[in-house]
Amino acid sequence: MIEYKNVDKSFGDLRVLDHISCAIPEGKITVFVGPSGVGKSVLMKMIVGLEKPDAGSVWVDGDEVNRMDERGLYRVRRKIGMLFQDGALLDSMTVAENVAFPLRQHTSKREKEIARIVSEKLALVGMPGCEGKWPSELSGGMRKRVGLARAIALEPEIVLFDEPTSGLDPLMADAIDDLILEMQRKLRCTFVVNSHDIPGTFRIADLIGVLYDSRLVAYGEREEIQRSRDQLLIRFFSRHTGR
Amino acid sequence: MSNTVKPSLLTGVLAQVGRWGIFSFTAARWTCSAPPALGSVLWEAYQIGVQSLSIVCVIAFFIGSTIALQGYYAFREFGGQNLVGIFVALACVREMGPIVAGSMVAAKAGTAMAATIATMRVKGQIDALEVMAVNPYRYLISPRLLASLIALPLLVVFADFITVFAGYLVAVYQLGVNSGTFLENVATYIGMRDVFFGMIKGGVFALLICLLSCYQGYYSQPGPEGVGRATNRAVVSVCIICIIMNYLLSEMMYG
Amino acid sequence: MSFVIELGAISLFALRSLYWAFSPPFFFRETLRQMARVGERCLLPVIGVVAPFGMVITLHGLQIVHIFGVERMLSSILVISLLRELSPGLCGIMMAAQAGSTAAAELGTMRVKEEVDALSVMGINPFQYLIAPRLIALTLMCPLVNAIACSSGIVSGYITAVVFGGVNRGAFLSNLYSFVGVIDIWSGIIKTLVFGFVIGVVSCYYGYYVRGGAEGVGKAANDAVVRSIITFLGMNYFLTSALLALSR
Ligand SMILES: Nc1ncnc2c1ncn2[C@@H]1O[C@H](COP(=O)(O)OP(=O)(O)O)[C@@H](O)[C@H]1O
Ligand SMILES: [Mg+2]
Repeated sequence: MIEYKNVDKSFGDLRVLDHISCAIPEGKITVFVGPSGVGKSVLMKMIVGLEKPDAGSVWVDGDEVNRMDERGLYRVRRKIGMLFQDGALLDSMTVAENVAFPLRQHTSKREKEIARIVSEKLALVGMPGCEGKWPSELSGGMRKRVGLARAIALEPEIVLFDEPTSGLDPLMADAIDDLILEMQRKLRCTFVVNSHDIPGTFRIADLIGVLYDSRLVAYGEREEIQRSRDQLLIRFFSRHTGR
Repeated sequence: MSNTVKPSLLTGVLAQVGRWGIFSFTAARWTCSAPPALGSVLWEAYQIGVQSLSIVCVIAFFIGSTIALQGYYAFREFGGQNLVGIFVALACVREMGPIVAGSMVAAKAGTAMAATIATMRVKGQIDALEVMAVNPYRYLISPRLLASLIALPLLVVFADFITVFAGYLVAVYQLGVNSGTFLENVATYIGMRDVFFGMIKGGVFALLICLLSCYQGYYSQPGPEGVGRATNRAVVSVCIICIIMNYLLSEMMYG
Repeated sequence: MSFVIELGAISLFALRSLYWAFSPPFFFRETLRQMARVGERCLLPVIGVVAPFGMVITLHGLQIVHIFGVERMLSSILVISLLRELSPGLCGIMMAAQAGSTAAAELGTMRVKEEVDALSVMGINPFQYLIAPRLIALTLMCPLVNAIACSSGIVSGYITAVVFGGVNRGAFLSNLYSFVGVIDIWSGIIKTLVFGFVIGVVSCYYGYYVRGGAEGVGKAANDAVVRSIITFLGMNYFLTSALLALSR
């Protein structure tokens, strides 16, 4: 379980997060939506300790990550996979080497075993047989898929997705949404997703958090949020429908 | 990320120096406490060495010949043109060898380090490393640090030989200095000690080049301009600091 | 040694650039803008390298002149070594690293983004609009930056010697130019003109003919720096030979 307790964050004079509190349950897909620049990525990076809150605390499975030292953080990160906004693949390595990278760094599996896992994960994300390609040869959607394969290579308990569908054409975005749903069904782990795409959010989310004006204005089960009569939410969703 | 108050020039420079100190300390700590795999160090050393070898040789050749020319004409004023061997030997082995090797490694390998690491920073790949629980210092910096420590002193030896060789060619064949006199002068005034001190200089330059270049890359500003700026800053800061360091080392070794 | 073959191509490129640089229309504004940019990018780094070198020469020189008891020679040694060899060489190296790499990277980026083609389609000759201004700017700015840097080296030598080294101020100043001939001043100017031209041609060549996307641009910038340094240091040897032989 991931928990935010009264998290504040500013950059200089810019207040980005204001008293955010919520608990993200295990084994569900939780989606944070909000206009771009509202602080979704910052909120997500706090889970892996890449950003620290100014005040408040962030907990992952009973560990307070904002107070951990490097070694502790690395222990927590071992059970988390993260898909970055445009994949963050290492350019100097092929697709296969990228996916194998966490395996080589953290396990002592033999090369044959690693190759097997790599092709299995690539097949799982719908990119079978492109082990030998270079990141620069891939389209945006393909890079995200490879990034996802890398994120799940170590079979993490938690997978974080930073805007998995942004910058993609609608068809590709739908395909990625389907992939997320399918993977969650197969892997049964905790997914946290950032998005500014409202229809996609309603399709994949179990829980939805709405970030607006640096506050978490709503957080709850999908149906609950969808049915809400709150004026702000209705305005927000109707204005942002459609991609 | 820190949110700093608008800095004045002085506090800005001090803050940079402090941050560089912390960066270097962290890099050193990781290199000692969890040394990188020998294979990756040797591979990097091979890369750095081979990348810079040909240019070090070419430039060493031109520097050596120019030093011989200048020395010859300067000494001729006092009728001492046959002493050019001493001048070439001392200037090349003690000063120019380490400087040529260092500056070319800074220009080729140093900029490559800064650009690679800055690109990784800008594209979020360093964050990705951290999320994959791979320490960027250990993965990116330590191998480069040890590798440049291996490669640069070796390049210094190459540069020593070639500068003196070029000086010999110019002095003997272009300026008509007696070959035996030249070689005798070189042999009397330069010993293994000088070559060895030059290698130590090379090692110090290697540390400075690697730590400064990696630092500029690691703290690169966002965007594609950030990469370019990081690379340029790396070259300039390395040059200035190495010149001053070179003097201090010469003072300590030969002073 | 593919670089030797490439030198031929670079020479042809130089001729072509020169031809277009001297045929109308002339882009004066663009040329001035490039000159300002080169100055802005290079001046501080070049001073930052030449000034400490002036200090270092003075410190080394102090030891030597003390041994031989010729303290009054110190400033002549400083000025001669800066003027003839060190300042032009260091200036060339730093300008290649700063302005040369920038020119190569900019032209490369424009090539990769098809902006060069777009210019041609719009009827603007890229040699006139992109290459000539950069080439002229580098060629003219190199002597200028060198002159300023050389002065900064002399000033830092003066400070080191007179303020910290206890050398007599009058002895230092009165001997500054006692060994300097007109040929030494000219040699600095000629050398840096050649260096600037070489840096401009080589950098524009590698930027203009960049291959292979964004990585290609980075490689072009690096090639530009390294190869222009090799080329002008090679020429420097011949220039030094000629100028030293002339001066006697
Ligand atoms: N390292 C940083 N330094 C300064 N400002 C930052 C930094 N990271 C993010 N911000 C600012 O915080 C705000 C939220 O950023 P982010 O979380 O990336 O938004 P998004 O919701 O689009 O992911 C933005 O206004 C951004 O400019
Ligand atoms: Mg974001």
